[in-house]
Amino acid sequence: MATSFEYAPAPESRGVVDIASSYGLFIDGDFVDGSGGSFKTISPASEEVLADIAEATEADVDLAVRAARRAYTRVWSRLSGRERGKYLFRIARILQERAREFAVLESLDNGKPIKESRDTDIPLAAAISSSITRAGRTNSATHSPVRPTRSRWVSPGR
Amino acid sequence: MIPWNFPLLMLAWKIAPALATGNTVVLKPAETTPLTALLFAQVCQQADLPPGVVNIVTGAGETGRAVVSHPGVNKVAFTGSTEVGRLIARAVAGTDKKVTLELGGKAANIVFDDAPVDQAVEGIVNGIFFNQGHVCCAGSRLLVQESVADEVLARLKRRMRTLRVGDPLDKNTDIGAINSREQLDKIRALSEIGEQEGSERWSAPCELPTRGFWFAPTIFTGVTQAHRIAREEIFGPVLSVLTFRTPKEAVEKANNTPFGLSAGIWSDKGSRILWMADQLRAGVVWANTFNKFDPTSPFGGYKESGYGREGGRHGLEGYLR
Repeated sequence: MATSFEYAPAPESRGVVDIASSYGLFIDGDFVDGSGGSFKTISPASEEVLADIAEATEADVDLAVRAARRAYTRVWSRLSGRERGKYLFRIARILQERAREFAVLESLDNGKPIKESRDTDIPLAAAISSSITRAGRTNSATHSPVRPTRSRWVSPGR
Repeated sequence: MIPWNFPLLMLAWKIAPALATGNTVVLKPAETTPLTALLFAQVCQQADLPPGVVNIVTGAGETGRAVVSHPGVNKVAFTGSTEVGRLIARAVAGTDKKVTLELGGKAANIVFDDAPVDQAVEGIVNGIFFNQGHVCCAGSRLLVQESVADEVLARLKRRMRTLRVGDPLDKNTDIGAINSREQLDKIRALSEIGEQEGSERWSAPCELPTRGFWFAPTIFTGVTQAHRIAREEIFGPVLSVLTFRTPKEAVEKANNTPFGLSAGIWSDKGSRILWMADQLRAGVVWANTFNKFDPTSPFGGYKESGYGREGGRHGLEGYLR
C-alpha cells in the first residue's frame, strides 16, 4: 500500500495580509461603527481570534438599504451598461492584483487549503467580475440586446 | 446573503451580475467568514465605486432577517442551506421581491465499469474532498457499478491515504480545517448515525492537529438509500458509497433524493453519458470530470436545491424585471 510522502512544510506567508483588530460596517462608501454589539471571527485551523466584527442591527441594515437606494436612484441606474462595466472590470483587475492577499486571508478565515483559495476561489471571483462585464454591456443604450425578447432588460429597482 | 464555504467567490457571484444590470447591493457575509468581504469593501473604495453602490453588513441570522424583510429591498439572492432557504422563501412570500435560492445538494457521482478507474478515483476525491466537502454540489454519493466496486474502492482508499490534512496555509495541504465547531459537530453526528444504521466506516489514517476543527476524509460502504447519510447533506469530507447493476438502476438511485443540484458520470461510452445526462434531475451534470466551474455557464438546482440560475447570461435574469 502506498504511504504518505514526507513533505517539508511549505507555508505561505501571512505577511501579505494586514488584519485590523476590529471592523465596522461598510455603508455608503465608508466604514462606520454599527449600533449593535460585535462578534469574533476565528481561524478554524487554530481557533485563534482574527478580528472583532460589528454585528449589524435592524437600524444599521436600514441605513445600508437607504444608501443603496440613493446610489441606485442618483448614480448607478443612470449609468450605461458600458460605464458600469468599466467599474466591474476595474474591480476584477484589483482582485487579480491583490489575489495573494485575498487567498491568504480566505484560507485564514475559512480554513480551506491555500492551493484552493489561490487557484480556484480568487481567480474565479475575478473571472466572474470580468466576464459579467461583457454580458452586462448588452444592457446598454448603445448596444441592442442579443435577443429582442429581452428588451425588457432593465434593473428591478423602482 | 452568502455562505461561508466560498466567501469571496460567492460575493463575486452575487455582486457582479447585480452591478452589471444596474442594481445596488446590500451584502451580508456569513458570520464565520466576513474578512474577505471586508477587504473587498476596500477594493470598492480603491476602484472609486460610487458610495452606496455596494454596502456590507456583517452579522448572523438576525442581521440576515433584517436584510430580507426590509421593505426597500427588491431582490434577495441567497446561497446557503435548504433550511434557511425555506425561511427566506416564507419571509418574502406575498411581497413583490424577487428571489433566487441556491441551496443544498446530495449529488451522485456515478462510475460505470468502462470508466478509466484512476481518472474516476481522482474525480471522486475531487468531488467529495475538495474544500473539505463544504460544497453544495459535492459528489457526496458514490454510485459505483457492482462489477468494479471492489477495484474502485481499493484504489480510492489507496489514494485517500496520500491526502495531506493540516495547515491551510501550507501549499502542500490537500484538506484544511472544518469551518466551524458547529459544522464539525454536525459532521460527527451524521457519521455516528451512519455507523449506527449499519454502514461500515473507513477513515484515511492521518494525524490531525490538536487545536482547531478537523475531520479525517471518510467513506461509508454498505450504504442503502434509506440511510440518513445517503439522504441528508453532510457538508463535510464524508462519502457514502452505493452500488448499482444497470444504468436504469443508477438513474433511479441518483434521482432518489430531495435535492437536484449536480451529478457526475464516469464512462467511456458517449451515448450512455448523453442518455444518463438526459435522465438525471440535476442542474449541472459533469461527464468524466467533477466540480468544474465556468463563470459564463449557468448554475442552479432542481427540487430542494433551490430555484433560479446564477452565472452567465442566465444569471443576469434574476437581477432584472
